[in-house]
Amino acid sequence: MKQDKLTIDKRSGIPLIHQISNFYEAQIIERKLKKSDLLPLPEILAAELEIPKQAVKASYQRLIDIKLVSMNKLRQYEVTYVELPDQFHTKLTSMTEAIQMMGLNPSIELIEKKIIEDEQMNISMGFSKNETLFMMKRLYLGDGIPIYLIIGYFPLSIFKDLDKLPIDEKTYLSMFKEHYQIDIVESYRIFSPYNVDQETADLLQISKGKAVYQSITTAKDQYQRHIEYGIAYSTSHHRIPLILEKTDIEVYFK
Amino acid sequence: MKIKVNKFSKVPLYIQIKDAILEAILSKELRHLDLMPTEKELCDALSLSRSVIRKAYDLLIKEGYIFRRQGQGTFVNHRYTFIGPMKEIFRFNHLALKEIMLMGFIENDHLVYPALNLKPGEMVYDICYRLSIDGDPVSVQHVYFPFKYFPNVDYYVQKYEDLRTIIEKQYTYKILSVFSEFSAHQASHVDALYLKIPQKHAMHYVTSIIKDDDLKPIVFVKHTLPADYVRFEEVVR
Repeated sequence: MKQDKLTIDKRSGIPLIHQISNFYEAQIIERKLKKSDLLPLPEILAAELEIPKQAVKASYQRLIDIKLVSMNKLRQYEVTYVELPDQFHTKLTSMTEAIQMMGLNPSIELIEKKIIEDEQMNISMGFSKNETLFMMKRLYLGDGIPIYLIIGYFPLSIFKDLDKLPIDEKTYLSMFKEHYQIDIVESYRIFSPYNVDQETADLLQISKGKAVYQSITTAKDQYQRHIEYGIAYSTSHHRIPLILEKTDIEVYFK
Repeated sequence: MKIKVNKFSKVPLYIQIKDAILEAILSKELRHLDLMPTEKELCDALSLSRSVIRKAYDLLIKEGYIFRRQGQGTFVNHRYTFIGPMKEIFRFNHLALKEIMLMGFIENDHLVYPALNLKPGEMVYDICYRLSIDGDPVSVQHVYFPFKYFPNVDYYVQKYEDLRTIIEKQYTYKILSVFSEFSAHQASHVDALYLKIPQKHAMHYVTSIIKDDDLKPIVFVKHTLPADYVRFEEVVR
Protein backbone atom coordinates (compact mmCIF):
# COMPACT_ATOMS: atom_id res chain seq x y z
CA MET A 1 0.00 0.00 0.00
CA LYS A 2 1.32 3.44 -0.91
CA GLN A 3 2.38 5.71 1.93
CA ASP A 4 1.05 9.24 2.13
CA LYS A 5 3.35 12.25 2.30
CA LEU A 6 3.56 14.06 5.60
CA THR A 7 2.68 17.72 5.46
CA ILE A 8 2.36 19.97 8.46
CA ASP A 9 0.57 23.23 9.08
CA LYS A 10 2.70 25.53 11.21
CA ARG A 11 -0.20 27.96 11.69
CA SER A 12 -2.57 25.27 12.94
CA GLY A 13 -3.72 25.25 16.55
CA ILE A 14 -2.65 21.60 16.73
CA PRO A 15 0.92 21.31 18.06
CA LEU A 16 3.52 20.14 15.51
CA ILE A 17 4.38 17.16 17.69
CA HIS A 18 0.77 15.99 17.54
CA GLN A 19 0.49 16.60 13.81
CA ILE A 20 3.49 14.35 13.17
CA SER A 21 2.54 11.60 15.61
CA ASN A 22 -1.10 11.64 14.41
CA PHE A 23 0.09 11.28 10.82
CA TYR A 24 2.24 8.23 11.59
CA GLU A 25 -0.39 6.72 13.87
CA ALA A 26 -2.90 6.90 11.01
CA GLN A 27 -0.36 5.42 8.57
CA ILE A 28 0.23 2.48 10.91
CA ILE A 29 -3.43 1.89 11.76
CA GLU A 30 -4.36 2.07 8.08
CA ARG A 31 -1.56 -0.45 7.38
CA LYS A 32 0.31 1.90 5.06
CA LEU A 33 3.26 1.37 7.37
CA LYS A 34 3.78 -2.20 8.53
CA LYS A 35 5.73 -4.00 11.21
CA SER A 36 9.52 -3.50 10.80
CA ASP A 37 9.13 -0.44 8.53
CA LEU A 38 11.39 2.39 9.60
CA LEU A 39 10.30 5.95 10.25
CA PRO A 40 12.49 8.68 8.71
CA LEU A 41 15.49 9.65 10.80
CA PRO A 42 14.56 12.64 13.01
CA GLU A 43 17.36 14.77 11.50
CA ILE A 44 16.16 14.13 7.97
CA LEU A 45 12.48 14.68 8.69
CA ALA A 46 13.25 17.80 10.71
CA ALA A 47 15.31 19.24 7.86
CA GLU A 48 12.61 18.36 5.36
CA LEU A 49 9.86 20.01 7.42
CA GLU A 50 12.11 22.84 8.57
CA ILE A 51 11.38 22.25 12.24
CA PRO A 52 13.61 21.41 15.23
CA LYS A 53 14.84 17.81 15.48
CA GLN A 54 13.55 17.70 19.07
CA ALA A 55 9.95 18.15 17.82
CA VAL A 56 10.28 15.07 15.62
CA LYS A 57 11.85 13.09 18.44
CA ALA A 58 9.06 14.13 20.81
CA SER A 59 6.42 13.05 18.31
CA TYR A 60 8.16 9.68 17.83
CA GLN A 61 8.21 9.32 21.62
CA ARG A 62 4.40 9.66 21.59
CA LEU A 63 4.28 6.70 19.17
CA ILE A 64 6.61 4.72 21.43
CA ASP A 65 4.34 5.47 24.39
CA ILE A 66 1.32 4.00 22.65
CA LYS A 67 3.38 0.97 21.56
CA LEU A 68 3.16 1.53 17.82
CA VAL A 69 6.88 2.15 17.44
CA SER A 70 10.07 1.22 19.25
CA MET A 71 13.71 2.15 18.91
CA ASN A 72 15.84 -0.72 17.61
CA LYS A 73 19.47 -1.55 18.40
CA LEU A 74 20.64 0.76 15.62
CA ARG A 75 18.64 3.59 17.25
CA GLN A 76 16.22 3.65 14.34
CA TYR A 77 12.51 4.15 14.95
CA GLU A 78 10.85 0.94 13.86
CA VAL A 79 7.14 0.12 13.55
CA THR A 80 6.40 -2.64 16.04
CA TYR A 81 2.63 -2.62 15.90
CA VAL A 82 1.30 -5.97 14.71
CA GLU A 83 -2.14 -6.64 13.47
CA LEU A 84 -2.21 -10.08 14.99
CA PRO A 85 -4.24 -11.58 16.45
CA ASP A 86 -6.40 -9.38 14.22
CA GLN A 87 -4.51 -10.90 11.31
CA PHE A 88 -5.29 -14.32 12.71
CA HIS A 89 -8.93 -13.49 12.17
CA THR A 90 -8.49 -12.16 8.65
CA LYS A 91 -6.08 -14.58 7.01
CA LEU A 92 -4.97 -18.17 7.45
CA THR A 93 -2.28 -18.15 10.08
CA SER A 94 -0.99 -20.99 12.19
CA MET A 95 -1.47 -20.90 15.95
CA THR A 96 2.29 -20.84 16.49
CA GLU A 97 2.58 -17.75 14.27
CA ALA A 98 -0.24 -16.15 16.24
CA ILE A 99 1.69 -16.80 19.46
CA GLN A 100 4.91 -15.45 17.93
CA MET A 101 3.08 -12.27 17.01
CA MET A 102 2.10 -11.85 20.65
CA GLY A 103 5.84 -11.59 21.30
CA LEU A 104 5.97 -15.02 22.93
CA ASN A 105 8.04 -18.07 22.13
CA PRO A 106 5.67 -20.82 20.87
CA SER A 107 5.76 -24.53 21.64
CA ILE A 108 3.29 -27.39 21.18
CA GLU A 109 2.52 -30.16 23.65
CA LEU A 110 0.64 -33.25 22.57
CA ILE A 111 -2.01 -34.19 25.12
CA GLU A 112 -3.80 -37.05 23.40
CA LYS A 113 -4.24 -38.71 20.03
CA LYS A 114 -6.54 -41.51 18.98
CA ILE A 115 -8.57 -43.04 16.17
CA ILE A 116 -12.34 -42.63 16.31
CA GLU A 117 -15.00 -44.60 14.51
CA ASP A 118 -18.36 -43.16 15.50
CA GLU A 119 -21.19 -42.61 13.02
CA GLN A 120 -22.96 -39.99 15.15
CA MET A 121 -19.77 -37.99 15.62
CA ASN A 122 -18.96 -38.15 11.92
CA ILE A 123 -22.39 -36.82 11.02
CA SER A 124 -22.37 -34.05 13.60
CA MET A 125 -18.94 -32.91 12.39
CA GLY A 126 -19.99 -32.97 8.74
CA PHE A 127 -17.94 -36.00 7.66
CA SER A 128 -19.35 -39.00 5.85
CA LYS A 129 -21.02 -41.59 8.05
CA ASN A 130 -18.38 -44.30 7.62
CA GLU A 131 -15.32 -42.11 7.96
CA THR A 132 -12.51 -42.99 10.34
CA LEU A 133 -11.22 -39.93 12.14
CA PHE A 134 -7.89 -39.17 13.71
CA MET A 135 -8.21 -36.96 16.78
CA MET A 136 -5.38 -34.90 18.14
CA LYS A 137 -5.58 -32.78 21.27
CA ARG A 138 -2.70 -30.33 21.55
CA LEU A 139 -1.77 -27.49 23.82
CA TYR A 140 -0.12 -24.42 22.30
CA LEU A 141 2.07 -22.54 24.71
CA GLY A 142 3.74 -19.13 24.63
CA ASP A 143 6.83 -18.83 26.85
CA GLY A 144 5.61 -22.02 28.52
CA ILE A 145 2.16 -20.61 29.36
CA PRO A 146 -0.89 -22.29 27.78
CA ILE A 147 -2.55 -20.03 25.18
CA TYR A 148 -4.69 -22.38 23.07
CA LEU A 149 -6.08 -25.88 23.48
CA ILE A 150 -7.04 -27.39 20.15
CA ILE A 151 -8.86 -30.62 19.48
CA GLY A 152 -8.62 -31.44 15.78
CA TYR A 153 -10.42 -34.23 13.89
CA PHE A 154 -9.07 -35.32 10.50
CA PRO A 155 -10.49 -37.89 8.06
CA LEU A 156 -8.08 -40.75 7.48
CA SER A 157 -9.55 -41.32 4.01
CA ILE A 158 -7.75 -38.10 3.02
CA PHE A 159 -4.86 -38.14 5.49
CA LYS A 160 -3.72 -41.74 5.10
CA ASP A 161 -1.61 -43.02 7.99
CA LEU A 162 -1.72 -39.63 9.68
CA ASP A 163 -1.79 -41.44 12.99
CA LYS A 164 1.60 -43.00 12.20
CA LEU A 165 3.41 -39.78 11.30
CA PRO A 166 5.75 -38.01 13.74
CA ILE A 167 3.60 -34.90 13.86
CA ASP A 168 3.39 -34.18 17.54
CA GLU A 169 4.89 -30.71 17.37
CA LYS A 170 4.29 -29.68 13.78
CA THR A 171 1.74 -27.11 12.69
CA TYR A 172 -1.22 -28.42 10.73
CA LEU A 173 -0.44 -26.11 7.81
CA SER A 174 3.11 -27.40 7.38
CA MET A 175 2.18 -31.01 8.13
CA PHE A 176 -0.56 -31.14 5.49
CA LYS A 177 1.62 -29.42 2.92
CA GLU A 178 4.69 -31.56 3.55
CA HIS A 179 3.10 -35.01 3.71
CA TYR A 180 -0.05 -34.70 1.65
CA GLN A 181 0.47 -31.66 -0.63
CA ILE A 182 -2.74 -30.32 0.82
CA ASP A 183 -3.31 -26.62 1.44
CA ILE A 184 -6.00 -25.34 3.73
CA VAL A 185 -7.69 -22.69 1.60
CA GLU A 186 -10.71 -21.81 3.69
CA SER A 187 -11.57 -21.96 7.34
CA TYR A 188 -15.05 -21.27 8.66
CA ARG A 189 -15.19 -20.46 12.37
CA ILE A 190 -17.93 -19.73 14.77
CA PHE A 191 -16.93 -18.51 18.18
CA SER A 192 -18.45 -17.46 21.44
CA PRO A 193 -17.46 -17.19 25.10
CA TYR A 194 -17.62 -20.39 27.10
CA ASN A 195 -17.31 -21.31 30.78
CA VAL A 196 -14.55 -23.92 30.87
CA ASP A 197 -15.04 -27.38 32.33
CA GLN A 198 -12.61 -28.85 34.84
CA GLU A 199 -10.53 -30.81 32.31
CA THR A 200 -10.05 -27.84 29.95
CA ALA A 201 -9.40 -25.52 32.89
CA ASP A 202 -6.67 -27.84 34.19
CA LEU A 203 -4.96 -27.95 30.81
CA LEU A 204 -5.16 -24.19 30.32
CA GLN A 205 -4.06 -23.66 33.95
CA ILE A 206 -7.05 -21.48 34.79
CA SER A 207 -9.93 -21.89 37.24
CA LYS A 208 -12.94 -23.99 36.38
CA GLY A 209 -15.82 -21.88 35.05
CA LYS A 210 -13.57 -19.06 33.81
CA ALA A 211 -14.77 -17.55 30.50
CA VAL A 212 -12.65 -18.24 27.42
CA TYR A 213 -13.37 -18.03 23.71
CA GLN A 214 -14.39 -21.32 22.17
CA SER A 215 -14.27 -21.58 18.41
CA ILE A 216 -15.56 -24.35 16.19
CA THR A 217 -13.70 -24.57 12.92
CA THR A 218 -14.28 -26.44 9.71
CA ALA A 219 -11.63 -26.27 7.02
CA LYS A 220 -11.54 -26.99 3.29
CA ASP A 221 -8.59 -27.83 1.07
CA GLN A 222 -7.78 -26.72 -2.48
CA TYR A 223 -10.15 -29.42 -3.82
CA GLN A 224 -12.96 -28.04 -1.63
CA ARG A 225 -12.93 -31.16 0.55
CA HIS A 226 -13.86 -30.98 4.20
CA ILE A 227 -10.54 -31.83 5.82
CA GLU A 228 -10.79 -30.67 9.41
CA TYR A 229 -13.19 -30.17 12.27
CA GLY A 230 -11.66 -28.42 15.23
CA ILE A 231 -12.60 -27.09 18.63
CA ALA A 232 -10.30 -24.45 20.06
CA TYR A 233 -10.20 -22.74 23.42
CA SER A 234 -8.16 -19.60 23.80
CA THR A 235 -7.12 -17.96 27.03
CA SER A 236 -7.32 -14.25 27.76
CA HIS A 237 -3.93 -13.77 26.04
CA HIS A 238 -5.81 -14.06 22.78
CA ARG A 239 -7.71 -10.81 22.32
CA ILE A 240 -9.57 -9.98 19.17
CA PRO A 241 -9.04 -6.46 17.87
CA LEU A 242 -11.36 -4.97 15.27
CA ILE A 243 -10.71 -1.69 13.50
CA LEU A 244 -13.68 -0.03 11.88
CA GLU A 245 -13.29 2.68 9.29
CA LYS A 246 -15.55 4.53 6.87
CA THR A 247 -18.22 2.13 5.57
CA ASP A 248 -17.86 -0.15 8.59
CA ILE A 249 -18.65 2.81 10.82
CA GLU A 250 -21.89 3.40 8.91
CA VAL A 251 -22.92 -0.16 9.76
CA TYR A 252 -21.68 0.09 13.34
CA PHE A 253 -23.74 3.16 14.12
CA LYS A 254 -26.76 2.29 11.97
CA MET B 1 -48.59 -28.07 24.45
CA LYS B 2 -50.08 -31.13 22.81
CA ILE B 3 -47.81 -33.91 21.61
CA LYS B 4 -49.21 -36.64 19.41
CA VAL B 5 -47.09 -39.64 18.55
CA ASN B 6 -47.74 -42.28 15.92
CA LYS B 7 -46.24 -45.55 17.12
CA PHE B 8 -46.71 -47.10 13.67
CA SER B 9 -44.81 -44.36 11.85
CA LYS B 10 -41.39 -45.02 10.36
CA VAL B 11 -40.19 -41.79 12.01
CA PRO B 12 -38.54 -42.71 15.31
CA LEU B 13 -40.59 -41.74 18.38
CA TYR B 14 -37.92 -39.45 19.79
CA ILE B 15 -37.83 -37.50 16.52
CA GLN B 16 -41.64 -37.15 16.56
CA ILE B 17 -41.51 -35.77 20.10
CA LYS B 18 -38.61 -33.48 19.32
CA ASP B 19 -40.42 -32.12 16.23
CA ALA B 20 -43.65 -31.52 18.19
CA ILE B 21 -41.81 -29.58 20.91
CA LEU B 22 -39.84 -27.66 18.31
CA GLU B 23 -43.04 -26.66 16.54
CA ALA B 24 -44.47 -25.37 19.82
CA ILE B 25 -41.29 -23.34 20.38
CA LEU B 26 -41.12 -21.92 16.87
CA SER B 27 -44.82 -20.99 16.88
CA LYS B 28 -44.19 -19.24 20.24
CA GLU B 29 -46.74 -21.46 21.99
CA LEU B 30 -43.77 -22.13 24.25
CA ARG B 31 -41.83 -18.97 25.02
CA HIS B 32 -38.31 -18.22 26.15
CA LEU B 33 -37.64 -19.46 29.72
CA ASP B 34 -40.92 -21.44 29.93
CA LEU B 35 -40.47 -24.48 32.15
CA MET B 36 -40.68 -27.75 30.20
CA PRO B 37 -42.46 -30.84 31.62
CA THR B 38 -40.09 -33.22 33.38
CA GLU B 39 -39.05 -36.37 31.52
CA LYS B 40 -41.17 -38.40 33.93
CA GLU B 41 -44.26 -36.25 33.38
CA LEU B 42 -43.92 -36.61 29.61
CA CYS B 43 -43.29 -40.35 29.65
CA ASP B 44 -46.31 -40.86 31.92
CA ALA B 45 -48.49 -38.66 29.71
CA LEU B 46 -47.41 -40.36 26.47
CA SER B 47 -46.93 -43.87 27.89
CA LEU B 48 -43.44 -44.05 26.50
CA SER B 49 -40.15 -45.08 27.99
CA ARG B 50 -38.05 -42.42 29.67
CA SER B 51 -35.11 -43.04 27.34
CA VAL B 52 -37.22 -41.91 24.36
CA ILE B 53 -38.07 -38.63 26.05
CA ARG B 54 -34.49 -38.15 27.16
CA LYS B 55 -33.26 -38.66 23.62
CA ALA B 56 -35.72 -36.04 22.31
CA TYR B 57 -34.68 -33.56 25.03
CA ASP B 58 -30.99 -34.25 24.42
CA LEU B 59 -31.44 -33.44 20.75
CA LEU B 60 -33.25 -30.18 21.55
CA ILE B 61 -30.51 -29.25 24.02
CA LYS B 62 -27.86 -29.99 21.43
CA GLU B 63 -29.65 -27.77 18.93
CA GLY B 64 -29.95 -25.05 21.56
CA TYR B 65 -33.76 -24.87 21.82
CA ILE B 66 -33.94 -25.92 25.46
CA PHE B 67 -31.47 -26.03 28.32
CA ARG B 68 -31.23 -27.77 31.68
CA ARG B 69 -30.51 -25.84 34.85
CA GLN B 70 -29.39 -28.08 37.66
CA GLY B 71 -31.98 -28.46 40.39
CA GLN B 72 -34.45 -26.20 38.59
CA GLY B 73 -35.60 -28.08 35.51
CA THR B 74 -35.53 -27.77 31.73
CA PHE B 75 -36.35 -24.44 30.10
CA VAL B 76 -37.16 -23.14 26.65
CA ASN B 77 -34.31 -21.23 25.06
CA HIS B 78 -35.69 -19.32 22.13
CA ARG B 79 -34.90 -15.66 21.86
CA TYR B 80 -33.24 -13.28 19.47
CA THR B 81 -29.86 -14.70 18.51
CA PHE B 82 -27.14 -12.89 16.62
CA ILE B 83 -24.84 -14.96 14.42
CA GLY B 84 -22.70 -12.92 12.10
CA PRO B 85 -19.39 -11.18 11.52
CA MET B 86 -17.94 -9.13 14.37
CA LYS B 87 -18.03 -5.89 12.45
CA GLU B 88 -21.81 -6.18 12.23
CA ILE B 89 -22.07 -6.71 15.95
CA PHE B 90 -24.61 -3.93 16.38
CA ARG B 91 -26.70 -4.55 13.33
CA PHE B 92 -29.51 -5.43 15.75
CA ASN B 93 -29.50 -1.86 17.04
CA HIS B 94 -32.53 -0.85 14.99
CA LEU B 95 -34.51 -3.84 16.28
CA ALA B 96 -33.70 -3.12 19.89
CA LEU B 97 -35.39 -1.05 22.52
CA LYS B 98 -32.72 1.19 24.02
CA GLU B 99 -33.20 2.31 27.60
CA ILE B 100 -30.92 4.34 29.82
CA MET B 101 -30.21 2.35 32.97
CA LEU B 102 -28.11 4.95 34.75
CA MET B 103 -26.30 8.24 34.22
CA GLY B 104 -23.47 9.40 36.37
CA PHE B 105 -19.90 10.61 36.54
CA ILE B 106 -16.62 8.88 37.15
CA GLU B 107 -13.37 10.50 38.17
CA ASN B 108 -10.99 7.63 37.43
CA ASP B 109 -10.95 4.19 35.83
CA HIS B 110 -7.93 2.07 34.94
CA LEU B 111 -9.28 1.32 31.46
CA VAL B 112 -11.18 4.44 30.48
CA TYR B 113 -8.74 7.14 31.55
CA PRO B 114 -5.57 5.89 29.82
CA ALA B 115 -7.58 5.09 26.68
CA LEU B 116 -8.95 8.64 26.53
CA ASN B 117 -5.63 10.23 27.55
CA LEU B 118 -7.27 11.71 30.65
CA LYS B 119 -5.80 12.47 34.04
CA PRO B 120 -7.46 11.13 37.21
CA GLY B 121 -9.90 13.70 38.52
CA GLU B 122 -11.05 14.88 35.07
CA MET B 123 -14.79 14.35 34.97
CA VAL B 124 -16.28 11.75 32.62
CA TYR B 125 -19.95 11.01 32.04
CA ASP B 126 -20.89 7.33 32.38
CA ILE B 127 -24.12 6.60 30.49
CA CYS B 128 -25.35 3.03 30.74
CA TYR B 129 -27.79 1.76 28.11
CA ARG B 130 -29.55 -1.56 27.86
CA LEU B 131 -30.67 -2.90 24.49
CA SER B 132 -33.48 -5.46 24.46
CA ILE B 133 -35.31 -7.35 21.77
CA ASP B 134 -38.72 -8.85 22.58
CA GLY B 135 -38.05 -8.07 26.24
CA ASP B 136 -34.75 -9.99 26.31
CA PRO B 137 -31.55 -7.98 26.86
CA VAL B 138 -29.02 -8.36 24.04
CA SER B 139 -26.43 -5.83 25.14
CA VAL B 140 -25.47 -3.47 27.93
CA GLN B 141 -23.31 -0.52 26.94
CA HIS B 142 -21.46 1.95 29.13
CA VAL B 143 -20.60 5.02 27.09
CA TYR B 144 -17.95 7.32 28.60
CA PHE B 145 -18.00 10.94 27.41
CA PRO B 146 -15.27 13.21 28.85
CA PHE B 147 -16.90 16.37 30.18
CA LYS B 148 -14.26 18.55 28.53
CA TYR B 149 -15.28 17.27 25.07
CA PHE B 150 -19.00 16.74 25.71
CA PRO B 151 -20.25 19.26 28.27
CA ASN B 152 -23.88 18.62 29.26
CA VAL B 153 -24.12 15.47 27.16
CA ASP B 154 -26.57 14.15 29.75
CA TYR B 155 -29.20 16.37 28.09
CA TYR B 156 -28.54 15.03 24.58
CA VAL B 157 -28.44 11.35 25.54
CA GLN B 158 -32.01 11.71 26.74
CA LYS B 159 -33.01 13.47 23.54
CA TYR B 160 -31.18 11.29 20.97
CA GLU B 161 -30.73 7.53 21.05
CA ASP B 162 -28.15 7.47 18.30
CA LEU B 163 -24.59 7.91 19.52
CA ARG B 164 -23.37 9.17 16.18
CA THR B 165 -25.95 11.96 16.11
CA ILE B 166 -24.75 13.11 19.51
CA ILE B 167 -21.07 12.98 18.61
CA GLU B 168 -21.23 14.36 15.08
CA LYS B 169 -24.33 16.54 15.00
CA GLN B 170 -24.49 17.99 18.49
CA TYR B 171 -20.77 18.27 19.13
CA THR B 172 -19.51 18.43 15.51
CA TYR B 173 -16.74 15.88 15.95
CA LYS B 174 -16.07 13.73 12.91
CA ILE B 175 -15.61 10.04 13.70
CA LEU B 176 -12.61 8.66 11.84
CA SER B 177 -12.20 5.23 13.36
CA VAL B 178 -13.47 2.87 16.02
CA PHE B 179 -10.97 0.48 17.56
CA SER B 180 -12.55 -2.41 19.45
CA GLU B 181 -11.15 -5.34 21.35
CA PHE B 182 -13.13 -8.49 22.17
CA SER B 183 -12.53 -10.83 25.05
CA ALA B 184 -14.47 -13.42 27.05
CA HIS B 185 -15.45 -12.50 30.62
CA GLN B 186 -17.59 -13.90 33.40
CA ALA B 187 -20.70 -11.87 34.17
CA SER B 188 -20.48 -9.84 37.37
CA HIS B 189 -23.47 -9.51 39.63
CA VAL B 190 -24.53 -6.29 37.88
CA ASP B 191 -23.90 -7.66 34.34
CA ALA B 192 -25.99 -10.71 35.21
CA LEU B 193 -28.81 -8.57 36.54
CA TYR B 194 -28.91 -6.28 33.50
CA LEU B 195 -28.47 -9.06 30.93
CA LYS B 196 -30.79 -11.49 32.75
CA ILE B 197 -28.19 -14.24 32.72
CA PRO B 198 -26.78 -16.25 35.61
CA GLN B 199 -23.90 -14.68 37.49
CA LYS B 200 -20.45 -15.82 36.27
CA HIS B 201 -21.95 -16.89 32.93
CA ALA B 202 -19.61 -16.36 29.98
CA MET B 203 -20.20 -13.19 27.98
CA HIS B 204 -18.51 -11.09 25.32
CA TYR B 205 -16.73 -8.09 26.74
CA VAL B 206 -15.93 -5.49 24.12
CA THR B 207 -14.14 -2.19 24.58
CA SER B 208 -14.26 0.45 21.85
CA ILE B 209 -12.32 3.67 21.46
CA ILE B 210 -13.92 6.19 19.14
CA LYS B 211 -11.43 8.61 17.57
CA ASP B 212 -12.12 11.88 15.79
CA ASP B 213 -10.47 13.06 12.58
CA ASP B 214 -7.49 14.36 14.56
CA LEU B 215 -7.13 10.77 15.85
CA LYS B 216 -7.97 12.04 19.29
CA PRO B 217 -9.77 9.42 21.41
CA ILE B 218 -13.04 11.11 22.35
CA VAL B 219 -15.41 8.38 23.55
CA PHE B 220 -14.85 5.03 25.25
CA VAL B 221 -17.52 2.31 25.19
CA LYS B 222 -17.70 -0.92 27.20
CA HIS B 223 -20.16 -3.46 25.82
CA THR B 224 -21.26 -6.73 27.30
CA LEU B 225 -23.21 -9.27 25.27
CA PRO B 226 -24.47 -12.64 26.51
CA ALA B 227 -22.57 -15.59 25.05
CA ASP B 228 -25.58 -17.80 24.48
CA TYR B 229 -27.27 -15.38 22.10
CA VAL B 230 -24.38 -13.68 20.36
CA ARG B 231 -22.05 -15.81 18.27
CA PHE B 232 -19.53 -14.54 15.78
CA GLU B 233 -18.66 -16.21 12.53
CA GLU B 234 -15.84 -15.62 10.13
CA VAL B 235 -14.56 -17.16 6.94
CA VAL B 236 -10.79 -16.92 6.68
CA ARG B 237 -9.01 -17.61 3.40
